[in-house]
Order: sequence, then C-alpha cells, then structure tokens
Amino acid sequence: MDCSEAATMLDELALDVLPGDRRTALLNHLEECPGCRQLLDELSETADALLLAGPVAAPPPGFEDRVLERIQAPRARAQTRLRLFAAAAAAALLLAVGGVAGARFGRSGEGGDSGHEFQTVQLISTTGSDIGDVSTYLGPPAWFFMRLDGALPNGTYRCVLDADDGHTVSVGRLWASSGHGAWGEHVSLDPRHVKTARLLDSTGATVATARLQ
Amino acid sequence: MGSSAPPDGLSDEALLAGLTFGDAEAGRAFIRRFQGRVHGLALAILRDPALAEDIAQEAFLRAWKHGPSYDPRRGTVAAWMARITRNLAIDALRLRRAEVMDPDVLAAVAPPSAVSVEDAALTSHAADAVRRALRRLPEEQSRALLLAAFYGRTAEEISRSESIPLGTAKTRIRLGLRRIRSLLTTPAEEA
Repeated sequence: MDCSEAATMLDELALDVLPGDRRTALLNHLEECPGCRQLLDELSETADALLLAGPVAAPPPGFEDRVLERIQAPRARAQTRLRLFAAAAAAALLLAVGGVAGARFGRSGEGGDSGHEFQTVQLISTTGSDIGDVSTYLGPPAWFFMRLDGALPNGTYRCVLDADDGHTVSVGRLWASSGHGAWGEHVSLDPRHVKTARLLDSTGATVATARLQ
Repeated sequence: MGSSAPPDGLSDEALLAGLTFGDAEAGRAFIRRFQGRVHGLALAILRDPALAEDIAQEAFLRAWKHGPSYDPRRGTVAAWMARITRNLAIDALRLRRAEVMDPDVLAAVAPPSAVSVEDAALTSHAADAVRRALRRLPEEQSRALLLAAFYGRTAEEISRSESIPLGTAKTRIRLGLRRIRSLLTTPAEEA
C-alpha cells in the first residue's frame, strides 16, 4: 500500500468505521509511514471534536449514585484484597527494611515484569503518622495518584517526585480539606526510577513522604 | 465527598486517576463532570431514555475499569469518554438491529445549542465552532460524516442506506471530515 491509497482510508480509520480487512492493511502501512500517522492524528482529532460537539443532556436524578453503587461492589472486593496483600507485605517489609511499608501487586494475569504493575505505598507525615497513600501504575502511560486521609491543615500542598538520579520534579497540587484530598496525573517519569513522593506545604517544607524504593 | 470544591477543581486526568484508584470523592467528581456529555451523546444516538442511561452508566464503569489504559497522547479524557460512549451506544443499536430513522441526523447529534441552562457551561467554544463548520458542509456530506462519526456506519452501510455508489459514500465521508478539519484549523475561513 502506498500513501495515496492510504489517504483514501485514513478518514474512515479516524472515524473508527474502516472494515477489518482494509484496516489491517492500513495499519501495516502506518507502522512504516510517519507522514500518514501524522495525518491520521489530525483527522482523529477532528473526529473527536465532532463527538464532543454532540448534545449535552443531564441524566435523571440519582445517576451518579447509581453509577457509584455499581462500581462499589467490585471495588470493595479489590480493595479488601489489596489491603490484605498490603498488610502482609508491609509487615514483611517493616521487618526487613525498618519503616518502609509498601505492597506490590499486579492485575490478574499480569506478572511483575509485564509493564502494568501497580504499587501502593503509605504516605508518612514528618511525625511518623500514616496520613494516606501513593499509588503508581507503570503503564505505559505511567500514573501517580496521591490520597490524603489524615490530619493536615486545610490548604494547597505541592506534590513532588524525587528521581533516583537526584533530580526532583514538581508534578501537581493537592488540596486538603478536613484532612482529605487527592491528586493524580500521568507523568513522564518511570515510577521504577522514582525514589520518593513528597508533599510540600506553602513554605516548601516537606510535610509527608512516601518511599517508593 | 461532599460537595466541597477541591476534587471538582482537579484536572480531568487527576479525577480519572482518582476514579481508577478507588477514591470515592474523585470518582463522584469525575461522574459529575462528564455525565452531561456522556448521557447526552448516548441519548442522541439511541433516542431511548432508559437505554441511554444504561449505556451512560456502563461508560463510567468502563472508565473505572480501563482508566489505566487511557493514553493522553491519543486525545483528551473527554474525547476518550465520548468514544467509549459512542461505541457502547452503537453496540446497543446493533443488538436491537435499530435503524437511524430520523433524516435530520445533524439536528439530532449537533443541535444548535445546549439542551439546558444547567449544562450550558459544558458547551464550549470548540463545540460551537464544530457545529458552525458542520452547517457549512453540503447536506449530503454532513449527513454521511455524522452517520459515520456518531452511528458508526461504514461506507458500505451508508452506500446501501442512502442508495448511492460505495465510492460516493467514501468520498462524502472523506471530503466532509477534511473540510471540517480545514474549517477548524483556519478560523478566518470560517468567518
């Protein structure tokens, strides 16, 4: 397939309506053609813009509660499993390295080397209290998520990641309200090369640390 | 969580991360942020309020389950949610073997204004620009483009339903999408 033939099909691929046989041939061409990939990206962006121009309509009352109820049951099972796993791993790690509590676990069917690994580590305040946790997902793309569940004063805190090569990256802000807050984002840093995640107060002082290594 | 402002002030990606990692407050804020778009899109495609709510719920469940696979290099969270919703709605339509009966596809999926004042904030300048661009296309092009974009109709299916040659259906889709792209990237032309 050459670029002129590919160009007759890119729009249908961007709109996700290209039948399978031609789709395979086009995808093979795209693997080797950055120019066509660029055009596909632009057309896909336009296709997305079309969908986003669709009508907005509030759902019936109680919609968000019904969604959360459907999420809650399987999530409760997953969190119970995580907590049990984390507790066992944390106990072992506390004995082994003294003070670092953490747990690694993979999604079903995915081993530790699969590139899709989760890690959850406790967030410890400067006074040694467990005030939340930091979760990472190797991806790609990599995710970081920080959850605060302890007694920090209300306000905005800066989230920074310390890489193992010594540099520190500021990645977002977390708002604490009544002891609770959350922040999460995709980051370009590989979680395996992040030594610690820290929360800084408005003066730049570290108020909590999660040790990821 | 309550209705406190902080989670609602997080970025789309942060809320998605919160939903994925099981933070109830972020999850609720994520649903609040996208429910109007998700439900509106499902309703426009399906024209069935009960089924549209089911599909909208399912879209959020998919977001929760597959959040880690979201890749910002491939589009915004809003676009990702729209694609999930669109694909679920199309699957539901196909299960019902439903046909797109309304001849005014444009009015169904790209109305001139938001359906409620409450959701007006969600109708962005970008969406308005797309709607204006759509109205500048020849009717047969906008119809073919919207049948593909919203209803997942292939060129072959459009050829049959519109009683036009396959090549004509493909050309209408291609010219329509590229014209929209051109109008959106060269604002002066749009004026």
